[in-house]
Amino acid sequence: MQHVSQVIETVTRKIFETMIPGDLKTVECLEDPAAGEPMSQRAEASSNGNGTHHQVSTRARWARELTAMVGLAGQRPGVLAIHCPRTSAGMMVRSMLGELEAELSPTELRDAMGEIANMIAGAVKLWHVGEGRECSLSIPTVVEGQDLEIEVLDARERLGTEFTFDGQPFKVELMMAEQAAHSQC
Amino acid sequence: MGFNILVVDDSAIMRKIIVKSLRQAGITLGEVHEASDGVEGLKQLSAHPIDLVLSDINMPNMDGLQFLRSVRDLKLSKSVPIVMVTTEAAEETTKEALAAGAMQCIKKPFTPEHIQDRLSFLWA
Repeated sequence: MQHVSQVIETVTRKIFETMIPGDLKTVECLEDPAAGEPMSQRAEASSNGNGTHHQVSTRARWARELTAMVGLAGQRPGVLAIHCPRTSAGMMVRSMLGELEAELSPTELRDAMGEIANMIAGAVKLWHVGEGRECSLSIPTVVEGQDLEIEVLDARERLGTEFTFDGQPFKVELMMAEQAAHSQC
Repeated sequence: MGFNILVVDDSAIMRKIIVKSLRQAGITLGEVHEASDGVEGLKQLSAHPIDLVLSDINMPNMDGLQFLRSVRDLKLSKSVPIVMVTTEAAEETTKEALAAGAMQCIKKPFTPEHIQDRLSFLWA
């Protein structure tokens, strides 16, 4: 069975390959980039040659202006979140719609980002089920603002994978609590 | 004459993508009706002649499985094909949907080719 971080990376790639055409790269952070601060400098990126990964220095900072979340309930409750600047969200959503020049309302942007989070969360649910754990998903919630923190109480695992889409950053994060005491697995 | 369809999904963007994908899959559409949850879906289904329903599962107010069961209880809509389009693709959920009367399940993410494949029963 794959580790959940691999599941997230694999399904994110699949979602983009299937429905959001563009150049998706996984970012290998040299150190934790501590995303959340306004971007002051562009990433110093270097391709690894195969076009799928590149590295950014710790100077890379970008604004988490939009966060789409799906809650996971069950034996390992948690939250799956996508964080990104609005520019990244706009590029992803336009590509998803196949309308690269589309004017998007804030509602459309939030709606689509919620759906992307929902598709990734669906794969995490399948992973839980495959591991013998019950899991159900909430409907997506999207929040805007830079100074927010998400905390899952008793979270024991916090996994994050950063990507760029056509050069614009976003991060997929999964926070999971300890297996609930009443669980039978 | 194309198929009159009803798309039930709480995401307006996803409804738009589903309709676009149906057209890209070569399916000729007649009237296109939309609903954001199962409750609204039932109203649309009672108000319009519908040839095909595509419904999400995870929705507020009335989810897709409740909607599916409610449709099957409506005498006039017993035979309308309903296809679930969902991220909830766990085998158990799929089995539950098929047992409740869904014709097919399409997993998100999908391509027009997936849709064409899953809706091949329309031409059978």
